[in-house]
Amino acid sequence: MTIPGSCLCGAVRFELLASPEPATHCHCSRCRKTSGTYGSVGGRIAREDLRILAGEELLRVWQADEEAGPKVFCSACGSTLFGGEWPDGPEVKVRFGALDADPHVRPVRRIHVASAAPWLPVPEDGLDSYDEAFHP
Amino acid sequence: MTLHGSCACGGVRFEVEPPFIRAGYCHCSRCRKHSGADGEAQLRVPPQQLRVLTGEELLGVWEPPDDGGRKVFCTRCGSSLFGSKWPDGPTVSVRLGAFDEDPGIRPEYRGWVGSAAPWLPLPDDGLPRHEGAVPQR
Repeated sequence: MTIPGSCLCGAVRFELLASPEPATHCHCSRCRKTSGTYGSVGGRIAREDLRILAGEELLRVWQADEEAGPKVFCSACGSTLFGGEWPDGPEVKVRFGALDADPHVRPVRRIHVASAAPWLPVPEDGLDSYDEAFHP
Repeated sequence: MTLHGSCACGGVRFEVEPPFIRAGYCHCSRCRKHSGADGEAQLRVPPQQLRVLTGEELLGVWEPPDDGGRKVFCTRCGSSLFGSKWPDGPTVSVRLGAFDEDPGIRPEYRGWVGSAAPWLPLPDDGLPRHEGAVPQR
């Protein structure tokens, strides 16, 4: 199964060779600001299962500090694309908004809900919620 | 009361004067891709009520190939900040995620639900839904 993805302007194209799991809503302030909405939705995938097909030179990385996860976006259109242990892995995160097909994976948890936006009460949708990060 | 906002890296800071015209969610494919999530959440305000305080030189603008909205973001951290025809037009959009404090207003509708992500069912929150664009008022 291959899942295609791209940024808004279409310059960055990629494909996933496996399912990005587990799908997680992150409500932290950095995910709120980079997304512009309540937070991010992403899943993890082995680095070798993410294949960048085009536009790798447009990818830009912002990292608040050494502890914080990198935010990878398209410098031409600002689309939020990747995170996690970027760029070398072993695991990277892929934002679901960038996917061009249904990954057939659904969010299973919410993290950093203690930082949730004041304008959106955390939905009572039955997902497991964690005040901060999730540590299995 | 003046409200403040900024991007994730802090390079861009802005302030917005109420009152706001309206706020809502947009689920169109462009907002989904730009946000990396299920769309954008934003409020609308006349452009003269929005002032960029620092980092204007960091702002990047994606121009749509049609009459759609621009996507204005910080080129250093990728944060999504403004939309519509910023800095022009009768109103501009400001992303709710960019606010540093509670903007007071709450999302009142969901637009472009006909394009909503297959991986996230729309929440049963009672907000009015529009298949396409939200009618102007």
